Amino acid sequence: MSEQKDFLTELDDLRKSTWEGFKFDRDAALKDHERSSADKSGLSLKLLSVIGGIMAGISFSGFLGIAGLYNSGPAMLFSGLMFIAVAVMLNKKYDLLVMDTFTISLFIIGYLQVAIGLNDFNLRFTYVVFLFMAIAVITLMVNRNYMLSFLSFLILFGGFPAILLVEKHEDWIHLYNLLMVYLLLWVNLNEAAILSVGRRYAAYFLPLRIAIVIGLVVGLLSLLFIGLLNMQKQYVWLTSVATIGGIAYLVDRLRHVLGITDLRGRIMILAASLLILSPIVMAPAITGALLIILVAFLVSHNTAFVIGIIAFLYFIGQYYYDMKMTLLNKSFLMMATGAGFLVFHIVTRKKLLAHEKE
Amino acid sequence: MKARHIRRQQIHLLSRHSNLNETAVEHLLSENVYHDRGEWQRFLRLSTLALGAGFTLSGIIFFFAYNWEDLHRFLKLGVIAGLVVLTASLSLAKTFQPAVRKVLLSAAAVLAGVLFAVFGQIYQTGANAYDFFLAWTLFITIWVVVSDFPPLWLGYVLLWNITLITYMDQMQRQWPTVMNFSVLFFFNASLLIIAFFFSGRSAAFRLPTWLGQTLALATIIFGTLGVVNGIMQPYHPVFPALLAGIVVLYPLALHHGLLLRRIFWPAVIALSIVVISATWFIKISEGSWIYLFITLFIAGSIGAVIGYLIKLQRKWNHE
Repeated sequence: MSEQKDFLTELDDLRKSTWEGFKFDRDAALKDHERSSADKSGLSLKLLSVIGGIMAGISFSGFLGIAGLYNSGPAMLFSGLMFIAVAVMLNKKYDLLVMDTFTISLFIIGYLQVAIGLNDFNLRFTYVVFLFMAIAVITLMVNRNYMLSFLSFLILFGGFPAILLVEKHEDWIHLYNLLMVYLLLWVNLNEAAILSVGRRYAAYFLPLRIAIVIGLVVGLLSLLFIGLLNMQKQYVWLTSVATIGGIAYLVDRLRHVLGITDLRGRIMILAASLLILSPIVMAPAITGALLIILVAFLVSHNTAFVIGIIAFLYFIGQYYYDMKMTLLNKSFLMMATGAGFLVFHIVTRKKLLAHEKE
Repeated sequence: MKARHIRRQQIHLLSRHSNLNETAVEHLLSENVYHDRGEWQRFLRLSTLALGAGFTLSGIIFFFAYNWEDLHRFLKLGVIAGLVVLTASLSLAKTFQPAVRKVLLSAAAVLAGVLFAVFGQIYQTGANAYDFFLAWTLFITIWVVVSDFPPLWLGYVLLWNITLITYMDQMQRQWPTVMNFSVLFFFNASLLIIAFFFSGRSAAFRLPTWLGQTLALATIIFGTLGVVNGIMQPYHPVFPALLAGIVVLYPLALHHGLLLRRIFWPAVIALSIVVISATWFIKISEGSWIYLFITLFIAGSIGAVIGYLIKLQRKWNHE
């Protein structure tokens, strides 16, 4: 009972900070909270559910393999589509964490079956991916469950780099990155708008924003494999346009934090940011990760923040690793960069500390 | 101030069931969830410091790495030994905050290992890896005990495990896998029981939740892998002992978890039991249909467990 009371008190606190005409369906909210508090039951149950689903998936694949059901393509295809459909509908009907294991397993196994079944038809890979993306879109339209929506978004976003890779249009990955950066900024900065449009779209918000981050990281990672793929090194800066542009936009939006609101100051900050980031124009993965960190911090998205930091450190490490300099010169460069940051820190320390106390 | 992600959930909930418009939601989010000016400035301050220190330190390390081959052996040992003495001494200085002092002592513990490693490399002692790990572990024992720093304790337990693993790998190659996992299981289980027994009894020692859970997770993983191996491989006398250990430990751990009202314990134990059961099913049967049965068994049992645990959690929350 105490948790419910806490919750109601907090809702009342929040309510007081809004305006007078505020109408609020308390009972519906409480019921909703009850249901979803099963979802925020912590990592243990979520992991148990996912691990259970994966194990069930593996053993089912084992069954398929040993039973020789791989032989009939159309049968697998049909069975796979059935599995996905059942997963989506079961989930819609019984929106409980208990069913999540079942439905996610069915969902993943369904997709696997579809993939294996389609193998028989010798379809072009691209068409298979399109089919997957179509299934994902239908799932999104029918179902509002977090996990299924998240997986569907991942399939939807991940399909693009996959197609580009296989069709050997790798350079278009920069367009993909541009889109992901735009989505990252748009979705995170318009949380209130998305929530207000309606319940359906509000339900997409949480799975969408983390799927975008993962999609962007995948796009940035693919830039590291330029050597192995047929990408042209000279076009790498195209992604930088997106990432550095995104950072510049964000910095401008944060001008109140920096205390610089006049036009002259804004232009100077813009120039300074571009100048500082220009040496790594050919390493957009780093600026991309930096963008993720900044956006995540702005909207308090902890998971994305951690992903951004890990990606940032990894990309910097990879950048230094690929640098064609002797180890000695690299060490000097590192010490110089470090010194630069420390100087910046000391110079701005007083100013920042003073403002912090406000 | 309540955790941001909880506030965010509440605001999402509010927006679903009320007539709040976009501006109001935006306002609520800015006030309660998004980071404000003061926090941004703290973030910028700390990140420039971290990046500056990180890069400079890496640069210094790489500089040494570049020149390492050419350094005289006494210089190599001298530098590292000097660092060990420096960090250990600094950790005693009261001018630092306790957290900083503990980190310094941990650094000293790590550097002690580096010292031994370099020594072995220079003098080509040809020591087995397990000698090295054993020496490292033993020599930092005193520091670990006085540090009162759980992350260091974790590192220490990890070192003991690595010592055991390398010992078994090098000196007892004839032991079957089930024996290896049994040793690890019993070692960690003993540590677990001792730790939980003494935690809280004296003011000096308190086992943090995360550390107890991590240790328990490792123990249960070793136990599970041991039993799985024992089932699939030819019989070995240690197997009944291992089973006995598990039969004793699991109920204890379950009781502990239910007492403390933490879902972690029943969840992990349930998963272990499901895995062990599934393995046993595979062993006692033939043919492909068993895998279908196992799929249904896994999905069904885990689903049931989750359902039960949710009910349990609801019951705990309402009391």
